[in-house]
Amino acid sequence: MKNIKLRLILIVFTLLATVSCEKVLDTEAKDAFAEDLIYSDPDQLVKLVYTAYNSTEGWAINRYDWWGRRFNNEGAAFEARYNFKNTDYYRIIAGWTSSNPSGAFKNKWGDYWDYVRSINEFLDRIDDCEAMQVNPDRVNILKAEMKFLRANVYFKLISYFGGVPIMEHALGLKDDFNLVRDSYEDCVDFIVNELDEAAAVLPESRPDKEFGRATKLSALAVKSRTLLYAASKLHDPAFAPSNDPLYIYTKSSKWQDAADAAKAIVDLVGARDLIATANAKAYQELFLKPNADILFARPYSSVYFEFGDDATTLWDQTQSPNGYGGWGISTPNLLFTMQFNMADGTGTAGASFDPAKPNDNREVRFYADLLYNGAQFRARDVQYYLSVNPTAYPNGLDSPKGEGNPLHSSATGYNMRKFQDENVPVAGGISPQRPYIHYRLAEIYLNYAEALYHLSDEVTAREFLNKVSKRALQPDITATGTALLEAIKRERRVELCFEGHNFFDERRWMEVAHLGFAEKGHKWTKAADGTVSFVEYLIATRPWWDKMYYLPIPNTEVEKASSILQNYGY
Amino acid sequence: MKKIRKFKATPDFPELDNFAFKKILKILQLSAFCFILSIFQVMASEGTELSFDNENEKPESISGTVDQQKTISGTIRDEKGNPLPGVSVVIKGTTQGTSTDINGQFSLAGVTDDATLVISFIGMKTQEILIGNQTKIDVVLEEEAIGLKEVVVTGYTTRAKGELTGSISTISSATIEKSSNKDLAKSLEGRVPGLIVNDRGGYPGDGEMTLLIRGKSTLNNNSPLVLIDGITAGDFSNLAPQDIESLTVLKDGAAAIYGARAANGVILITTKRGKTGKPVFNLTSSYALSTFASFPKLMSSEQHAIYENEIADRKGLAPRFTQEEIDKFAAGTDPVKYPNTNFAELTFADYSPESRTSISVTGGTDNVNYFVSGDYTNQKGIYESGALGFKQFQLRSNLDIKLRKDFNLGVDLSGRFGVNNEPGVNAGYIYKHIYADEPTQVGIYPNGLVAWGGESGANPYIMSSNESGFLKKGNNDLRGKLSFDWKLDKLTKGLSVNGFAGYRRMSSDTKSWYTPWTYYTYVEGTDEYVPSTGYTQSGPSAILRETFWKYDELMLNAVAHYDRTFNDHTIKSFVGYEQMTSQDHTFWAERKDFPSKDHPELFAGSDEGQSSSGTSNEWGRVNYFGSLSYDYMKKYFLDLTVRRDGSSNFGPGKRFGIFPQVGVSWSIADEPFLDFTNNWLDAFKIRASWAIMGNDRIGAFQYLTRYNYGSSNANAAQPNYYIFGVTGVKYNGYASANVPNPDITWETADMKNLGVNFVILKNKLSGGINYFYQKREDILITRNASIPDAVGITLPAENLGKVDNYGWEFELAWNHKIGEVGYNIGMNFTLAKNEVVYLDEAADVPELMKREGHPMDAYIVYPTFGIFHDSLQVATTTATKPGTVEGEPAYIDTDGNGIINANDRIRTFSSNIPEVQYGIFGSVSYKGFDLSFLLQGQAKAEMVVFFDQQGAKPEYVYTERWTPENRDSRYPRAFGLLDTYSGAQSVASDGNNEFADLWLHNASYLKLKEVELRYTLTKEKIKVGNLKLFVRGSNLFTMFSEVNKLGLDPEATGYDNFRLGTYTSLKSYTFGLNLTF
Repeated sequence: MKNIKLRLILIVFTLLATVSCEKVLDTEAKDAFAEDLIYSDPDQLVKLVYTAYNSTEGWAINRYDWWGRRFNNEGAAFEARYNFKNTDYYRIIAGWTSSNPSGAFKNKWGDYWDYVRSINEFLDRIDDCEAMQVNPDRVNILKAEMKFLRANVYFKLISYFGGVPIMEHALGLKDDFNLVRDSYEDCVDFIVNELDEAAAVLPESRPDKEFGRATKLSALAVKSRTLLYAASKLHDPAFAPSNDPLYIYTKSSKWQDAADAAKAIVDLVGARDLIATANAKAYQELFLKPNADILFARPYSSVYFEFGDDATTLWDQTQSPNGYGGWGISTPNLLFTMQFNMADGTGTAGASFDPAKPNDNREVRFYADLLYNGAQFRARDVQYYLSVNPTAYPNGLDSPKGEGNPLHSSATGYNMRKFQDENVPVAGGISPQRPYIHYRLAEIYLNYAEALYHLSDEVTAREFLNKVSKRALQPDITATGTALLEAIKRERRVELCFEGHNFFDERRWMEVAHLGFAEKGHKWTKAADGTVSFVEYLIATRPWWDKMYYLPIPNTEVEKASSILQNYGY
Repeated sequence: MKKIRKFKATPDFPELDNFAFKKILKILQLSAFCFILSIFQVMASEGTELSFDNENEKPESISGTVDQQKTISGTIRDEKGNPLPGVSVVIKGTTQGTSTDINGQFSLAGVTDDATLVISFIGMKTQEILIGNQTKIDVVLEEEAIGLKEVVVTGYTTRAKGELTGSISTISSATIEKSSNKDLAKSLEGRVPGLIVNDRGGYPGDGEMTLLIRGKSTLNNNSPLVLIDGITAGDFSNLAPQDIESLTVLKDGAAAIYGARAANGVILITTKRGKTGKPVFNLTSSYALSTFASFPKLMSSEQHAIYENEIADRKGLAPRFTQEEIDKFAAGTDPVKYPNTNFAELTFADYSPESRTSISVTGGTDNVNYFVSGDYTNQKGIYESGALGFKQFQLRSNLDIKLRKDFNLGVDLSGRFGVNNEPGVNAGYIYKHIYADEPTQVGIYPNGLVAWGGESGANPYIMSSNESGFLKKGNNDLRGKLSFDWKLDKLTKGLSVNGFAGYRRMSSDTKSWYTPWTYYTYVEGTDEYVPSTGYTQSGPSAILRETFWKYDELMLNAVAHYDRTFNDHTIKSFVGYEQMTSQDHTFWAERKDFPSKDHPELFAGSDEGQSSSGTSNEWGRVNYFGSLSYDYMKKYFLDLTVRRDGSSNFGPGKRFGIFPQVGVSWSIADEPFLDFTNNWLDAFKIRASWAIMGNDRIGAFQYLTRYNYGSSNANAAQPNYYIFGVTGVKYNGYASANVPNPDITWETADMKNLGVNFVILKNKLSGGINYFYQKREDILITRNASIPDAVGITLPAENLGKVDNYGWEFELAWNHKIGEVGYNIGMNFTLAKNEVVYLDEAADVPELMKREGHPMDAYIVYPTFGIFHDSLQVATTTATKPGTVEGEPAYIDTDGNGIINANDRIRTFSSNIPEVQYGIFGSVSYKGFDLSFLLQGQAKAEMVVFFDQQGAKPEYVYTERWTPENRDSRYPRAFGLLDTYSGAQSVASDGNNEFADLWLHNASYLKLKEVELRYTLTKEKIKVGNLKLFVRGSNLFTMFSEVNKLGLDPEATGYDNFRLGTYTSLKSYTFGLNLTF
């Protein structure tokens, strides 16, 4: 009996030993990589940097939003209006509120912070990681790229929101989340310092296959724009809509700093002329592939759309007139088109302008950047007109009774031509090399001119203004005083149009007339005799409130941390 | 959450490779282990010494050789004289037995005179008959107190219904077979107390529904655990009804034996098995026609034009349409230039057909019993084009082999092969254009050419046809189960060991072929129809994507049972071990730019832009469990269960948990002091149970620091790749997946249940009441609501949330017969409420917006006091949205600060999950006729009904709007997309829009879910067999519903435009027959 029991116990234990099935719980995370693998090898580490480059802008204002993938902020600027179903997509007519944050801008707050944290996580680990010991030269450049990218994001944040919390480390689950917004000035200092550090390490140029990665010039370009914005009227305590440290910049050396920042680049490129253009077509092509004037850009390829596999997210589709199958989402405002000079260098208020033929004899950039009734585009003329007698003369193909979606027919009588690659189809076409340009030399020259104007060096200011203007085949600008400042502003509107500048420029100049204004357009008609004419008409009135110099911080965010102060007026 | 996708698989049956064989060997080891464990248990409980001496033991079958053996035969009938097929006839004290055939007849050989026959049948009183010198025995079985002895499948065992301590509901195969619903899960709506089902749409092959046991109790996955014959299943929507023997719903602590997965309740499905006897064939064939249960009348082009003009007028814009144009739309005489198009009508057919045929055969000899069945379904979707459909073929073979007198082997094999056919454009895009394309656009020209319709030629009529390509998805679901049942009475009476190895392989093979189509545009002047290419967001070139998915799961189980009765004491107990391992794997490849539409093969696509990707995952689970049930004199019952569960979803040290349960019940009616009630009280029981259960359905590896690589989802707003270089080359990158939480573990549910069951008036009236209270704690939530976005952190889930879920269930049934007319009527009622006790909230959230004390899915609304009747009312109201005019919502300034903004929002106490759901059912039978019905309803639910999309809107939006002539309207004046006053006011963190409260509608309804008329022709009349003919209507009409009056479906999740409510639930008419022979 006893023997049997002993034997049994033995069997039980043997079985238990063989059974130990709990190892089936040790599964493997097959869909992910471990941290130590990445931080031990520079070849892996660089892949964290690749991802962080997505913090830069592209054709889309908001990749989280279906419509937001199809245009940028030009429709909320003086430049254009959102042209589909009369929808107030940017909420600039209703006015932004903290609970319904600002239409297409609604993800601006959260989106940027994701990148701030992932870059911080990288910077927290980088100095002590194995990869740094393996190849310090290479890893230090990666570190400088990350610092550059973080500074670039911070510049976007302060431009949209004013001062924001400066976070130099990634917070963990157990940290205190009562974040406090730092002053605008501290943010600018932080950005400038980071960019100086990065510029000291980044290479001056990159080989072709690294086009799109940060260089010393990229870092200096961000610094130049940051200091120019900071020096502007919007942040001047004497004019700022709110005199809170969240919005003001008080340094007395501000214009000199801005000029110096631009000059650093001017010196590096030897103050060379911009790439010459013989005509409108050549000018238009400046934006269709990489060139030497580009300081920092987001490259695209012949395969990828702006957003994932959505073939309708590139600007050929979204900005072409309806008759071409396009969606014409951002239609240039009539008032904005008036910023384009005449070919002889005079303005549209001058004698050369024929109000009956507003689209004749304009400067080359008018023809390179805009489509108008009668413009030759993709092998036919653009036709916005409605016919009085459609049986004799059909309605214009791009009219509200034309082809494609008539709801996309331009209400203003203009569409965007800039960035359109006429060699690829409107539908599903991918311009093979067209980059999204963040920084280019023309801007730096204009930054320099504007700063120098405020330092009363009008001669040098004019010199650099003319470098930009003359490249566009305009005659020499000789203006002085406030007329020169106006010329610099006009040049900036026209040269940099639809590139994401105007939204901020009109704000920092506090040009209220360009923030709230009448959205007008031309309505074209083909008469019974076949002649085409237009009437100017008011489409809608864009109101203006001072609070809209900045975006509201989403109210959910303020509820989470009362230490994050809401912007004034919201 | 890595969801196990709905059934998909390979066409060939999984071979048991070496690996599987090793597992089977292991299971045999395991069973031996369990067997030994049970021996110890026996030793402990009996206190007797274990003896391995076999000398004294003689096989029972050899005993009694002296007696004369003979063959007994007979017929078994019910009280009405109808023969009863399938009645079990067993010689007492042996496993020797048979069951009656279709004519209620049985024949049993090798019976001795001193043997006693035990004759038992579900729902009937068991009879014991001493053979004596009889050779023919006819028996009439009496019905017993409703179902109390009915055997109910519970976790790892079975119990008589009257012995349960927990709250368990069952549905019989008869009820299930009666349902005409193509989706088995949906057919449970209104039938089971505590089971809350909503039919959210009728898309073929896609079980769109909400299925909850006693409502919602967590923010995470609320779906119950589903087991088919003990093996996990993702869902059971597509099972063949005729294969199901029973369906059991474990609602309270009774589910605790399933430990970490039990908190949402458990649904146990048992398939049919063979019964000894001659083969019985069962053939069911039905044909059904379905259409939408509700679809609203849409605005005409004239109404649309007027409405659009009113919107423009409100915005100060020029009118879109002239009066002349509006008149032409109204006249309808020029369908080319002034059409009146209803894109829904164009796209959807009036009716869609469906057929289903099932055949099964069951029978067996002394040694082998079998149940074999096949089932074929063919459903067409309601697209006019016929391009949408679902076909499914199912096979099942359940074999029981008696290898030895005390050893049974079960071999179960089943396979389900489904094919979904869809057009090349996905349903979401088609629906979008059904409601976004304007009625003022031409759909089809009078000459038959397809018109533009909407953006880029997105005409839903043509997109819903194979002109846009096709999607063909083959789903395979294969299950194999090898089980054994070893009676070890030899060792000690009442001991047995059983176990199984279950293997599942699912796979799916999807071929998605997208092709642009041609549409035509009429050109005025030339009178030409110009062709153009229509396309979706996928662009104007053809795209082929092939996707393959495969899932494997192995489940091993061994349980030792010890069941025994000592005088008045009965013990049922078991201990067991179970483990499960599973892996899944996906792979897809895609190419574009094909030379021709008629060669959808990958090789033919362009090399440029080709892409491919894949994923894989694995999971593991280990469980130990035990149960002890005890009763004294069948009056006092005690159940104890405990389970130790380990799951690979959690980190080391957090993987195992212990889940106990206690249940008691008391059959008061059997107490002597209630003897005076004997003539009317048939049964009366009180039950109580308490358990701790878990919910582990979360994404795996949240405890690890992980980095994702590349973008498996091309459409990520923040992708893990970037393009560099002058020529543009894609570089994949890493992104931190989340901040790890090493402490992550399952949610726990503390579940209490109190119940009463009764049967009175000679089994005529039966009923039960249950009260339940569940405290769910450690709910996995992310602290998104309280951590500022500026921290930029990708949060892990943390065990933080607390939610209470409580309510009661009530059921009542009356069963009676007057002369030849039998009838029954019954109802069930469930009230289930959930209340947030703690969920992460922002520090400064206003009091009225707090989640605490509200249901989890409560709406956030901007309260209003209706619509401003006139401008005077606007002028005299202190706080309005700036610029408000008459006819717009009159928002309430909740916080009294004079401004209408987000601080005026409040959180409601309502959601689209109904707090009350009920069913009322009944039937009348007279001779061969049988008429039955089911009414199902819900109350205390609200849903959003809101339309602002420029396109097709329901007509009521036009007729019920505010106008100067209709100032007392329910709805505001005409308004369009993103309207500041009447439109969505803000967007919640979950991405849903927040509206004025006037857009919330009461979602209560009462639906006639099922009516059936059945006529039975018995074998006596038609010789061939029993033939039943039936006609059925499902979801026929809806009453007492505010939403239904608008032409919409109150069962949809809501209408923020037609986004979620385009393909709504279906009503159908079915004709069919059932033949048993």
